[in-house]
Amino acid sequence: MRRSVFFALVFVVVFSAQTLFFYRGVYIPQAREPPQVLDISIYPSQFSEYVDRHGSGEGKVLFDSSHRNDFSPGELNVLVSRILARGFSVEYLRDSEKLGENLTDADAFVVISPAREYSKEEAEEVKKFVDGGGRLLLGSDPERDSEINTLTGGFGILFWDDFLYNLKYNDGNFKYIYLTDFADSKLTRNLSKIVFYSSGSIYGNGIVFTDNNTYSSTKGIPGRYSPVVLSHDSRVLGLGDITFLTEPYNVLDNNIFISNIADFLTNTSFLKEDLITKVNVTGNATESIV
Amino acid sequence: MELGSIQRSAGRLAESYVFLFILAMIIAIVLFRVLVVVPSVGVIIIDSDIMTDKVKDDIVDMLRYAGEEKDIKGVVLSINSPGGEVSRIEEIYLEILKLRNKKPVVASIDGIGLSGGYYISAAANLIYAKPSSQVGNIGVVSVLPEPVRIDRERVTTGPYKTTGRSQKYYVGEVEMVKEAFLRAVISQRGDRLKIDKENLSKAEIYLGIEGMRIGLVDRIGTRSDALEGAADLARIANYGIVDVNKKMNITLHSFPQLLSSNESTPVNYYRYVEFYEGLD
Repeated sequence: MRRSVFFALVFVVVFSAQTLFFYRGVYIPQAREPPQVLDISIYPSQFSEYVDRHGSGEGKVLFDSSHRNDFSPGELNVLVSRILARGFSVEYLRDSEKLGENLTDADAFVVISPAREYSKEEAEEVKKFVDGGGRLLLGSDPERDSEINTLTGGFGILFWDDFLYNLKYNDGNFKYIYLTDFADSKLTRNLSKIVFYSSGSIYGNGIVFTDNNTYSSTKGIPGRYSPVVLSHDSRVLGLGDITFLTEPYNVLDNNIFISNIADFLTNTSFLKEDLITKVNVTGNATESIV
Repeated sequence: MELGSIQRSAGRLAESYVFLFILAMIIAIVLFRVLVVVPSVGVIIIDSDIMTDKVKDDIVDMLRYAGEEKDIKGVVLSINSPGGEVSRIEEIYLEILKLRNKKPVVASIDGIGLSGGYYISAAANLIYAKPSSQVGNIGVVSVLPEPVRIDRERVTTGPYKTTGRSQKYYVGEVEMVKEAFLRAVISQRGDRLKIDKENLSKAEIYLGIEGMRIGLVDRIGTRSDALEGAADLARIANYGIVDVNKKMNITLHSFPQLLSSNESTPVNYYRYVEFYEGLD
């Protein structure tokens, strides 16, 4: 009996010693479940029916296409259709040497992302046009080649070499920023929320501002930046985004803003007795009601 | 009783106790080896991007091997990866979560644990990095599908048959993939994370020391420190080391592929693109 106890004791001690030599305890798993993902749903804003209430007039809006402008005409179809609805014609400038000649009978001039620089003489022609009462729209965004600043200096406007982003509140991507802060202007009339898709900030008299959660890529800090400016004489409009003009990105109040821009270019405004063009969900004009 | 007889009896008794002692020891040692194995820590080296099924399958096979082998009580993932394709990364991540329900898993970010390379690290119990290792880059990169068009030469049964989605909605889809990535990191790092979701989504790359400050890394150390860490979690000492890659004869090889606008089907990547561009 004593021997078997001794045997058992030695066995237990040796076995335990070995165990303790290698093992100091037991791993207790810390249960970690995979994250819940089924509730993730991010859908960008959709187009909703829009009624374009506009005035009418006649005249010509000239679009620059002579400085290797980085846009396709199709991108501006919504804006062009609004201009046409206001009774104005649209022409494209193909030859920069005929800039002055073409501006003489134009009411407004639109310059989108010129990849080729404006010469000093050309910039002076445009300045002369604006001083004579013409309207000028300057547009560019950070995803397009642009030498727009070769034209802007004379108007107190400068496009910064940055892009704006908001990681907190956006329309499905950090660079799709909401804009809800508007200065009082005909251009911001009836706007409560617009969305820009790829915008840079602009130096000048801001009329649309980001919220304080929006960053400028070059400054790296959040702040109140302006991607839309209007010169003090209200004749030169600077837009830091082009995409919002394009289908299917004319969502939220972008459509109202596009109409306001068309009003600006044509110097018309909606009066009660004027035309109302209903725009269906595809953005096409469907009927005009007197 | 005579003295001589007493001495003989005592001698026999002593002999029999010595014999019993030796016998008990031998049986205890042999039984220990049979019943309780000598523990080891398995090392899995992931030093590649994870762009192909071959690489993904190799990694998953190694994780399963480490999970099934009785002597492997803890696992070290030695990571030097810029990430890879989303669904492959997710599969590895989920396999690691399964493994750590059985055994502790410790990630050691040797050079880079970026994007998907960090995603899989996040599934580990602990993350080690060297002071100048690169970690983070949490986000997704993708290529937009072609704009929806119809084609005279090709018959399709729906407007998105060839593109999958409109460009606009595809961006939202990529954002959902990013959100899943963020949640994967946040759910595993928990309270250790000292950076908010908004800043994490900037997809910045951090040095190991910065990573530790913001909670993307638990400890500064080398692979041998990670081995110690895995052993501590597994509660083992005097352990051996099993080179799982060698054991399974697996060398991860993947060739850099640049994001190409010619890709016919858009694919999402959890990967650090500049890494590839630097190789051009």
